[in-house]
Amino acid sequence: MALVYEFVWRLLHALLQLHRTLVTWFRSHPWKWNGRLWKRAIAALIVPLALGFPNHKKCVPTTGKRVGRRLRFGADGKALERLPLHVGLLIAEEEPRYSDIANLVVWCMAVGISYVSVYDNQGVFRRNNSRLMEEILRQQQEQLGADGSKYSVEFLSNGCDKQDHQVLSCQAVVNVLSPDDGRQGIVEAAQKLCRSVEQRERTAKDIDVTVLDSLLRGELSLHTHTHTHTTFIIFVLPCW
Amino acid sequence: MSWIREGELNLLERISANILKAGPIPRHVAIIMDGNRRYARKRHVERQEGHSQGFEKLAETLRWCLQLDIHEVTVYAFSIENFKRSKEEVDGLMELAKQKFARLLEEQENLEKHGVCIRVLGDLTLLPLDLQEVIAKAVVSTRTHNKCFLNVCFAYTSRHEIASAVREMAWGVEQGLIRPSDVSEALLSQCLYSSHSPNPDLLIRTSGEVRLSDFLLWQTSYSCLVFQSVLWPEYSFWNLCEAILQYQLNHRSLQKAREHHRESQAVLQLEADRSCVAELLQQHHGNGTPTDAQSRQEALRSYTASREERVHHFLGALQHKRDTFFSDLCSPAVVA
Repeated sequence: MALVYEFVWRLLHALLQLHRTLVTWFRSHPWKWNGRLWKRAIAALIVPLALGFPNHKKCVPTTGKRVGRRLRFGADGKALERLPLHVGLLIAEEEPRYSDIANLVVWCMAVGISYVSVYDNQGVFRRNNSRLMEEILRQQQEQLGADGSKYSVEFLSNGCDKQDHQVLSCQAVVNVLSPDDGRQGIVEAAQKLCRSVEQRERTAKDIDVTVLDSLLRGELSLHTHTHTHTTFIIFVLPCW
Repeated sequence: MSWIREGELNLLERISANILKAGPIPRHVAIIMDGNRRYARKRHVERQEGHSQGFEKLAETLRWCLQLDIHEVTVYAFSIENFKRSKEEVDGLMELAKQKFARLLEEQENLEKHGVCIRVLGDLTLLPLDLQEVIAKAVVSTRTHNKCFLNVCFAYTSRHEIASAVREMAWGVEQGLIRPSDVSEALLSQCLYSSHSPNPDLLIRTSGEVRLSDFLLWQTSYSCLVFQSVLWPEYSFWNLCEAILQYQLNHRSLQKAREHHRESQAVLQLEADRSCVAELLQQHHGNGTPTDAQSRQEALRSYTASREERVHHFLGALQHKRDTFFSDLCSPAVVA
């Protein structure tokens, strides 16, 4: 009987994996499907309905693609009842495409989100921080054109390369994170606090959520993240 | 209403459970039982009735978990943030908890039969003393059971738990048991309230809310998170099966990520030990005499052994401190 159960389980999982692969393929190759109807159907699959985007037709003018896109970003942002202050982008792909991530960041900035954190489990973006920054600036120029100046950006990257922060203005803050900022960030804060206890600058009893919170916020410039979807694995995105 | 619900699965449920059990089953499931109040509003019953129904569902879910070979469950019963709710509701929840933990003490025999160990995770000092005492009795009386584990997070938030772990490590430094350089991810994990449990493989949140609400933030870094729209009192066996299926679909990538994390942790610890040894050698030998590779290796081995011994000793002292807290709470009642 155990063999039958195992066979059914394998069959079930093969079907579910196939379903998942097809959905992923449709999501990543929408341009291969010609026709407006297909594009709309796929867009409906990708954009969560919960966001409640209104019909774009009303606010998108027909004169020039770039102008339309620019106005639409702002209109979409305004149409949302509540806009997240901070969006965390957790990139789980093994070979992330810089242009896609830069696109996402620029879209976030354009709708008026003030803090965007980009994280990947391998620390690829942290290692190639400047490449991501360049790509974001390029996409910003490309997508927002002359209006790009309104959406200026501050890049933060914790850790060793603090002197490399590129600060243009404070309208949107892009924070590039790696696993070092997750649990390891808390461990480093704990070591600092323990050293101050060892040197009798404070006692163990002084340590509470507020003390740790201010230490971590100071180091990571963190705000609460907002995200959508139904199944997740976090991979040590800063857990504080 | 009992903590242990006897009963069997029907034929269809049994077949489905056996199919699921052919794949990897989570060892530890964490649940945010959300939706009791919305359920009460939906059914036009008192809020308290919603919470009672929620508890009944917990007993039923624990039975399903056992039948699916899940031997450890952690539930979010009461957050520190919940103290901000109306006094009437907080008092009602405290009363419900007192009743349920008192009931648990009456079910000793049944708990022993099933080998259920109850642990309560959280800052118990925030609770009324009578509730603290009944909780302590429940925890102490089931401490030796080892077949299945129920962790009830009460007066809990994850940030509070992490801050408390940091405070315990600072206490260790204050007492001269450990050094600040001994603080590591592994040590912090062992200072958490949940130090006796493996990290959850699967976290379920009901009622459609998509956030963790300060629950097990440290422990769920490599867990499969499943958000389901059903309200907790309406949770069914099939909802649980769906969550397990999601876990099974993500199992391989989870394993891979955990393995990668384990390896990077080992490297990090080795590097930390090396830098401590280098510092020690610098202090002992000064700048003049360079040390050869073999003696550096020997120094590293001896430093690692002494660090492990310090940490072991500190964790023993911490456990003793925690055990004493519970036994002190139990003792006045024992005398009475």
